Amino acid sequence: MAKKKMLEAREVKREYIMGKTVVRALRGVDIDIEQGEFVFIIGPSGSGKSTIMHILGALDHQTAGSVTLDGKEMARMSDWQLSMIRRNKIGFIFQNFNLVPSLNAIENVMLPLMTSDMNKTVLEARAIKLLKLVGLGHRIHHRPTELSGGERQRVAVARSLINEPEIILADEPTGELDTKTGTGIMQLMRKLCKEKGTTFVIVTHDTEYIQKGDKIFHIRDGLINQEIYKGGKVIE
Amino acid sequence: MALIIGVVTIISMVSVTAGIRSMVTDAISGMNGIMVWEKDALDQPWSYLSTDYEQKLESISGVRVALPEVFGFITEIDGDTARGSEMMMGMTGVMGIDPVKEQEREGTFYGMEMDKGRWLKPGDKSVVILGNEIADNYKKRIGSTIELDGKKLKVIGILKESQMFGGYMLAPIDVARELADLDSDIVNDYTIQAYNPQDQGKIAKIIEFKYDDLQAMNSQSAGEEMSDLLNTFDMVFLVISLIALLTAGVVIINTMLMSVMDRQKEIGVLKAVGWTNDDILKLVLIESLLLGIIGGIIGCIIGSVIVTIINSAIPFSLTLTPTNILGAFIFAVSAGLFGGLYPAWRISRINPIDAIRME
Ligand SMILES: Nc1ncnc2c1ncn2[C@@H]1O[C@H](COP(=O)(O)OP(=O)(O)OP(=O)(O)O)[C@@H](O)[C@H]1O
Ligand SMILES: [Mg+2]
Repeated sequence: MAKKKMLEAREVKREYIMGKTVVRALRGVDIDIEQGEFVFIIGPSGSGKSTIMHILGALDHQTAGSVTLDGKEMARMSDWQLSMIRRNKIGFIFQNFNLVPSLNAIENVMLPLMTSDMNKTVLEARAIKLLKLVGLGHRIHHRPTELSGGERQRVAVARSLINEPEIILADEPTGELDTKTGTGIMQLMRKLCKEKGTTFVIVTHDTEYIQKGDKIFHIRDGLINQEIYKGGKVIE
Repeated sequence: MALIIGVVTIISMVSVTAGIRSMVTDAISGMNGIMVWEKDALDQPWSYLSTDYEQKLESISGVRVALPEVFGFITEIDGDTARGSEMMMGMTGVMGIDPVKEQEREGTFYGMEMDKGRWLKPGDKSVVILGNEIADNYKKRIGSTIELDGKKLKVIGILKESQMFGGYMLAPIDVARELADLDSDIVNDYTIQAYNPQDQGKIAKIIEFKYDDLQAMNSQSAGEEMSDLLNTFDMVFLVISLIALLTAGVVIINTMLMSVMDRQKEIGVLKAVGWTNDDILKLVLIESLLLGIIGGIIGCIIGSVIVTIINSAIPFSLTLTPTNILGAFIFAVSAGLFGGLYPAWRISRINPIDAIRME
């Protein structure tokens, strides 16, 4: 079925300059993601998965190439526009969660909308609902240091959902979870995708989940070397 | 913390200048005329002039009146050693004026004002007017009797509270002479008032020229000299305040810079989840503003305490008004605000991913 194009990356390169050496984390990546798709990105450690996720998530700039969101070139957007995209359009789950240590679970979940003009009681109610959804209804006043790795990961998942984003970028969202909770989170995501039409881009190592994806990008050494579509179509 | 020290400095200095200013203007505005006393005398109480001068001085052209004044120290009040006023280095003084001549004075004697009772009038004999400090210390009211060096006097008036004259007493000139052990043809000094106050400078010069043994001080020129001095004070004060402001500002910049750098990662997370640069700017500014407010409050409290302590230790008082405290407080808050601007601006522009990667 023909869908609206959401994210489009063309010839994206990202280089880091470290003293005299240049690290080429991405060497020309092409990625297309349509609205409502459930997309996986897989690849070995250090292949550039987090790097491309950050660029797709309006968190980092590519050094060459172009990335468009809803047809708009992100490199041409102002800091303020990018902040607004992150606040309203995108939910991001970081590989290392990135919770604020001084805030408790519910505050961390509310964080993206704390400075918006949203009513605080409505926001709080929504945060509690999300924490319950990820199975942390009994931990809402715990700080990150008082939570287990898996619990932190679930707070991060809840935080990515607070702004009811159109697209969620998840960098190994189940890495710290046991199979049962991991599967639970994955099922929750699939449900959101189906019911609300939320677009998902998920980095994972867990090969058992990826069978259910609409698309799987295989990245290696900063290049997409395999694109697998639902139904078995493979582009090398 | 430098901010607190800055606020304390400012509060103390403002009170010093304000204190001196109010005292000096009190004294000068009260001294309306030319003060004439014996040349080479240590001060008015040690100057001895013959009553003949009254006529001589009044005959100088332009002089309207020459008012004789006597000054005496008291050692005993009500049979006990007199507890002196701090203003007068522990001594207690009685000033004597001629109630008849006083009627010709323009303005009141040294600007004194009555709180209770009445002023001296012709025919008064064994009466006295008390400064507010003496009245308080010895629990005297109108109609009480006070014994000065064995002489009983009736209290007819009490002066309004004043720093300058709280420890003085005022009596008819004959009574004061007796207490000062002066002969009846001797006074300590004269206050001369001219028909035209603008002539005062000229008259003072004429007096000094005509009488080798006299010294004349014009209240107006003295006032001008004092206000020059006070203006210099104000300038010095301004410079020190600016230095304090600058130091406090730099310290706040430093503190805030360190504090935001320590939290780069956290701030990166805030930006990553959709906080705008302005949101971050506000956050940091509110923090440094709070820093300024807290520093300001502590500084104001410490400053006030110091001024109070100093006041109890020195013979004149520093004046600390609510306006001055408010000023020092505003100074602290603005130091907080301006000191926070640069760190807030710096950190608000951070790249979220770079900040998050930071360990
Ligand atoms: N800030 C940086 N400076 C220099 N090199 C960097 C920086 N960030 C990433 N890299 C390099 O870029 C490459 C890709 O990193 P990236 O984090 O995208 O890998 P990844 O695929 O997410 O790996 P993992 O599965 O371990 O999370 C790595 O070789 C890494 O060392
Ligand atoms: Mg990674």
